[in-house]
Amino acid sequence: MTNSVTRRRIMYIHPRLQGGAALCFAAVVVVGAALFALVVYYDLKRALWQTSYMGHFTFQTPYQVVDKILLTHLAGLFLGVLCVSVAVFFLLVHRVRAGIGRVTDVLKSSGEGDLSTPTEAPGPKSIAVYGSQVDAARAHTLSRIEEIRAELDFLSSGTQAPGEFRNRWEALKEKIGRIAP
Amino acid sequence: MTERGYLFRFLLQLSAVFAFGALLLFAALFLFFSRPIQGDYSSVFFALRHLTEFSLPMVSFSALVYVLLVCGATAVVCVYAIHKIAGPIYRMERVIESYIAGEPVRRVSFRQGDQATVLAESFNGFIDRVREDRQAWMEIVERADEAGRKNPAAAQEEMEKAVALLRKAVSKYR
Repeated sequence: MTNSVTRRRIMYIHPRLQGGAALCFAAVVVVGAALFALVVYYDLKRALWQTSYMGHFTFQTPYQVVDKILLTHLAGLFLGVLCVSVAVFFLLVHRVRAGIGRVTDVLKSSGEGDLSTPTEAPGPKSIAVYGSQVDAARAHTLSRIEEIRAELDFLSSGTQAPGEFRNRWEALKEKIGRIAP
Repeated sequence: MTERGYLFRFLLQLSAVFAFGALLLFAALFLFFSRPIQGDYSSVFFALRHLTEFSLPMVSFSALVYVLLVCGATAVVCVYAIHKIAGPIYRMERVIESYIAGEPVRRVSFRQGDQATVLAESFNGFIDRVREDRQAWMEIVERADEAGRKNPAAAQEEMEKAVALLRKAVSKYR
């Protein structure tokens, strides 16, 4: 069931995931811009230097000298940053999917009874942290089941004093009721 | 796990940000290099040489502005778009915390447009299976109680039978 009436107001809720992804793309932009500035500077310098020897030609503006350099490098900057960002994006998506897939598989096997195999989710740290929380939930369930098992072991041991069986039987019922409330 | 449309929209937004940044950079450099050069050979010669010296700080400054604007816009796009994945993870973390605290857990559902709904489905599936088992165990116990009430002499025997059944049922968890 979806609730479209109430809206989340806080958008930056998972700094590790949201901030981490933003930092990855920012790194691509910074590297792209640095390379652009370096290459464009050297190309502009060379073009302007060479043109200065041809000053007897008429130039309305220096842009006529540098237009091809600027447009080529700007297109290169746009396409380069975009291509690398798309690659980074698909890598992030792949890692998130791998992590979530692992957690999902573990939860499925937990339903079958495996509550002790660690999740060890791959991918971003936030998914790994979520996986460890799932492990904590599974360990919590297992500890409740261990309590029931201990009661059952005691009840089937036949060593209890008369009247104690009934008390432990009630305790068993209470412990069963505490699982997944 | 994540909708194709969502991924496509995110890439489109990212492309728009980069295109906007490139256009802005072009505008800044175009303005700088569009100042007219006038005069004779020597004045054009010196103007171009002068421009060469100034092109480094100009290009560096333009690139810095580009970095700041594009990084800022990219961060906004990331925070907004990845919120659709981060939100469900955050929500699941809170649900698991309350589960561990022993509070009653309701079935988890996400908002429209949220991604990674499989997180809720798998957790709901896990809780449902545990609850089904709990229900089955409770039924074994209640049957034994019921039989004990009908025939008090056989109550102990019924409970022992139930204990044996429960031991077998619980053994699946490890």
